[in-house]
Amino acid sequence: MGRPQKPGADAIGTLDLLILSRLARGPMHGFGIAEYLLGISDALHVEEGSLYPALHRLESQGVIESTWGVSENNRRARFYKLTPRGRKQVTAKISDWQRMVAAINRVIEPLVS
Amino acid sequence: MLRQLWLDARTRFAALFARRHLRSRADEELQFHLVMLEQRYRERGIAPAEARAQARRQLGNATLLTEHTLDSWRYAFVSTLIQDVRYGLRGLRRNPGFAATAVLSLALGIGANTAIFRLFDALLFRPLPVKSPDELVLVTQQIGDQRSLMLTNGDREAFSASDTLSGLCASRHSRIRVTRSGESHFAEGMFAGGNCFALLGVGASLGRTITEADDQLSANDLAAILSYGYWQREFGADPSVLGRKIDLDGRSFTIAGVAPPGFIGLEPGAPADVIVPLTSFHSPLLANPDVHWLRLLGRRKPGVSIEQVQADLRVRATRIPQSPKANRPRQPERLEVVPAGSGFGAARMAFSLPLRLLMGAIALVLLIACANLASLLLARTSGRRQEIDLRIALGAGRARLLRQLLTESLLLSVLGGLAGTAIAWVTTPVLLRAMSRGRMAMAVDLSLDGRTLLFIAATSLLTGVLFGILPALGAIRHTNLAGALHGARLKTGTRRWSAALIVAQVAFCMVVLVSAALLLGSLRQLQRVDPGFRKEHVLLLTIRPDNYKGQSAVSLHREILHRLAAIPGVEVVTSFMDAPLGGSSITTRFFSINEVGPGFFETMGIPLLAGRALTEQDAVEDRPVAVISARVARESFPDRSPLGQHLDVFGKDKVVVGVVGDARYRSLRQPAEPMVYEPVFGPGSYALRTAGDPRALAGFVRRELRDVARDVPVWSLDTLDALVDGTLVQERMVSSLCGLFGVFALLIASIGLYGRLSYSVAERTGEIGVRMALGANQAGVLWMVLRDALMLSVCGIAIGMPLALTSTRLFRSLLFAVAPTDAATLAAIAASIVGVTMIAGYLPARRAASVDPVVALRAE
Repeated sequence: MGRPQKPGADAIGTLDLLILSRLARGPMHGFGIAEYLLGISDALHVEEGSLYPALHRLESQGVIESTWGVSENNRRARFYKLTPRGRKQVTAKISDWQRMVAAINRVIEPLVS
Repeated sequence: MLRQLWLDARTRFAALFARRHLRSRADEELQFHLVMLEQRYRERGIAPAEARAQARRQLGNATLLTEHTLDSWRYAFVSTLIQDVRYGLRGLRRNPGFAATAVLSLALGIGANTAIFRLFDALLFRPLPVKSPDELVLVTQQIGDQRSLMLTNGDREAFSASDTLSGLCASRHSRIRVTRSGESHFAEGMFAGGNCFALLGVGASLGRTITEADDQLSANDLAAILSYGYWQREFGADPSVLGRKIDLDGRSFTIAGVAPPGFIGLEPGAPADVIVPLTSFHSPLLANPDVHWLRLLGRRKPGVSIEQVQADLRVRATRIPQSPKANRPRQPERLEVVPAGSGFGAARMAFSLPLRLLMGAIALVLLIACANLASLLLARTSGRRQEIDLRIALGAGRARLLRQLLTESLLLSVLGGLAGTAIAWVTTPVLLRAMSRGRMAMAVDLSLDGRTLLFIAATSLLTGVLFGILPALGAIRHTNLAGALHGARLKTGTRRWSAALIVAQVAFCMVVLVSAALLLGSLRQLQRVDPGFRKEHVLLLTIRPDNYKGQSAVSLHREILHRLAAIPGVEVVTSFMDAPLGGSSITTRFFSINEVGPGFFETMGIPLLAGRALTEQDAVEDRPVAVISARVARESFPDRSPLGQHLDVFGKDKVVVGVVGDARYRSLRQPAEPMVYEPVFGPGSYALRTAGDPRALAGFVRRELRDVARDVPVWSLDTLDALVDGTLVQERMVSSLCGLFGVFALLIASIGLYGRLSYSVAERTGEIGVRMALGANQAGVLWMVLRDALMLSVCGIAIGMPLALTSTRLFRSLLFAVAPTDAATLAAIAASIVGVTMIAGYLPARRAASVDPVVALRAE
C-alpha cells in the first residue's frame, strides 16, 4: 500500500532487523530493546524517535504483538514479542542480511587488502 | 497476499477510530521510557533534577513522537485528511458569515450549472440506450438555412443499398389515437421500419420487438410495441397485455411486446409511447416517392467514416429518378450525414445553441463566484498571516500547509456542491416545463445518473481548487518569523492579485450582461413584430375525427360549428387547417397552402385587402376559387390586379377572388410567407373569436364536443395568444435565464468589490488618519476610495468589452433585429456596471471619510 516508509529504513530494514533479532530472544519492552542494542555496541544507538514508530509499525504489520506486563522494577510496561509470522521473517531477514554483507565484503575486499 | 492486504487494511482502519485508545497506550509507553531513562541517569550519580531534565532532552518532543508513533498505524493520507477536514470545519465555524456566503454562492453557481447540464446532457449528449451508439448516423438535408431531417421513400430505397452502412432504419414520429373501452386519448407514436430494432440492437423487456415480417403491407396482424413507461402508466405494468388487442387510429393492433426501460425512441425530448411498423402508417405518403416524410438513421459499418458515408449517399442520391411532380428540386450536394449517437429531433436542434449559450453564461457566473471567493480567501489568509507564519516557524511542512488550506476550500466547494445538487434537483424540472410550453412537448429522462453525479463532483472539486489555490499559495510563499511576531499587512503582491480578481469578475459580468441584454432586446423586438393577424380573444380547438368519413364527417362538422357558435360569448367560429404561427402543412415551390372555412379572415383578424372572402358556398360546393396573400399578389401578379386571375394550385386551376394581408405562419423571425387560401368544409381545427377571455370558454367547448361526439378526442385546445407565445418559449427562457445569471453575476462582483474596499479601508485607517490630520477633507478621502472602485470597474469593462463582442458573435443566430455590436446596449451595460460598483464602493468610502484622525493615530 502507498504508505510512505519511515526515514532510515533501508532495503533490508536495519532497525527492523535489530528489533526482531532482540525479540527472537524473548519478549521485551521498548526501553529494554533500546538498552540491549546500546549495550551490544555504541554504534547501534537507536533514537527513541525511530524506535517507537518502528515497534508500532511492526505490530500493525502483524510481525510482532504486544501486551501489558510488569517490568523488572515493578512498573507497568508494554512487552513486545514475535508472532509466528515474525519468527519466519527474522530468519528470512537474517539470511538476506548475511547475503548482502557477504556481497559487499567481496566488493570492498580488494580495497582493504 | 490479498488476505494480508485485507487484514492490514482492517487493523489500520480500526486504528483510525481507536485513536484515543492508541494514544493513551503510546503516551504510557513513552512515560515508562522516560522514567527508566531518569532512573538510569540517577544510577550514574546524576542529581534527580538534572537526571529528569536529561531524560526529557533525550526523549525529545514527546507529543510529536506520539504523533509519529500513531502514524505507523494508519494510512497517513486518510488520517491527515480527516485531521484537515476537522481543522477546516473548525475554521469555518469560527467564521460563519464567510462560510455561509461562500457555500451559498457556490451552491447557486454549482446548482445552476448542474440544472442546465442535466437538460443539456439529456437532450444533447447522453448516448441512446442502444448497441454501439457511436456508429449511428442520421441522413439530413440542408434546405435554405435550415436542416431538414425528413427524407423521401426514394432516398430510403437508394440509401438502403449503400455498402458503407450495415443497415438503414426509417422511422416517423406521429401522434396516435388510442381507444380503450370507448375512451380515446393521444399517445406519441413511432412508426418504425421492420429492421429498426435489430439494427439498433434493442431487445424487448417483455414479448418481442418489431421484425421485418411485421413491417409488410400484407401483414394480416398489426403488431404494436409499448414503451416501458407507457406500459407502466396505462397498463399498470400488467404482463398479460401481450397478445391483447389495442385500437390505434381506429385500427386493431396486437400488443406484441414491451420495450426495455431506457428506450423511448430516437428523439430526446419527444418520447415514443407506442411503436408500430412503418407500413401501418395510414397515409398516402407511404407510396409517394417524392414527399419528405421519413427519418433515416443508419449504422456505419466498422471502419467506415461519416465522410465516406456522406460521399457514398450523395452519389447514390444523384441516381434517384426525379419525378416531375416533386415540389423541390433535388440537391444531392445538400445531403449531410451527421452523428446520431445521442439521438436527433426538433427539440435537440431548437435547444442546442440556447442550451450551449446558457451553459457558457452560467459557467462564467461560477467563475465569477470563484474569483470572488478567491479574493475573500486572500483577505482571510492575510488575516491569518500571523497564525500561518507561526506554524511554519514551528516546523509545519509547506506542502502539508498547502494541503490543509486547499482542504478548507474544497470543504466549502463540496458543501456548496451538495446544496447545489438539491437546487438543481428542484430547478431542472421547472426549466423543462418552461421549455415544454411551446410547440414542442418536451419530455426527457432526468433520472439521477452517473454522468450528472460525475459532473457535480468534478465541478465542485474544480471550483474548490480554482478559488483555493491562489490564496493558499500566497499564504505559504513569503513567510518570516518577524512577520509572525508583528501584526501582518496585506502585501502588495496579494493586493495586486485581489485587484486582478475584481477586474476579472467585472469583465465576466460584462460578457454575461451584454449577452442577456442583447437577448432581451431581441425578445422585445420579436414581441413587437406585427404577425399580420390579431392574436387576442381567439380560442383554437383541434380534433382528429379520422373515424368520420364522407357525409358523416360533413354533418359532424356542421354540428360542431353550430354548437360552438351557440356558446355565449362566441362572436365568430371558423375552421382551418393551419393556424397562423402554427406552421405550414403544405408548401409548394411558390407558396404555402392553407385550407380554411368561411369566416377565417374575420376570426383571425387578417385584413381583406381586395375582392371578397371565402364563403360557405365556396366550401360546400368545392368551387375552384382561392384567396391569396398580398405577397403572392405581388410576386405572381406584379403588373396587374390579381382578382379574376387563374392560379395553378397543385395542378388544379383556381380563380383568385380576393387578396388578404400577409400573416406569418412559420416564425416571427422570418417575413410572412406567400399564402394561398382554399375553401374547405370538413372537421379538423376550429377557431372561435370571443368577446371576453377565450380561456374561460375552454370548458364549454369540451362539453359541447363531448355531447356531439364522444369518440372524438381533443388533440389540442388553447388560445392563439398562447400559440404565438409558444413560438417564443426558447427566446424567453434563454433571455430571462441569461438576465438572471447577469444580475447574479453583478451582485457577486459587487459584493467582492465591497469586501475588498472595506478591507483596504480598515487596513489604511492609520494612513487615512494621517492624511486627514495633514488637511485632506472628507470629500477627498471619499473620492480616494471611490476612485479605486472606479478604476477597477473601468479596467474590467475595458477587458470585458472585447470578450463580450467575441462571445456574442457565437450566438448571432439567436438575435433578432439587434446588432451584436449595438453601441447603446454596450454603453448602457457599462454604465450600469459602473453605477453598481460605485454603490458597492460608497459604503466603505463613507466609512473612510468618517475616520477620526485623532482616534486613528492613537490606535497606530
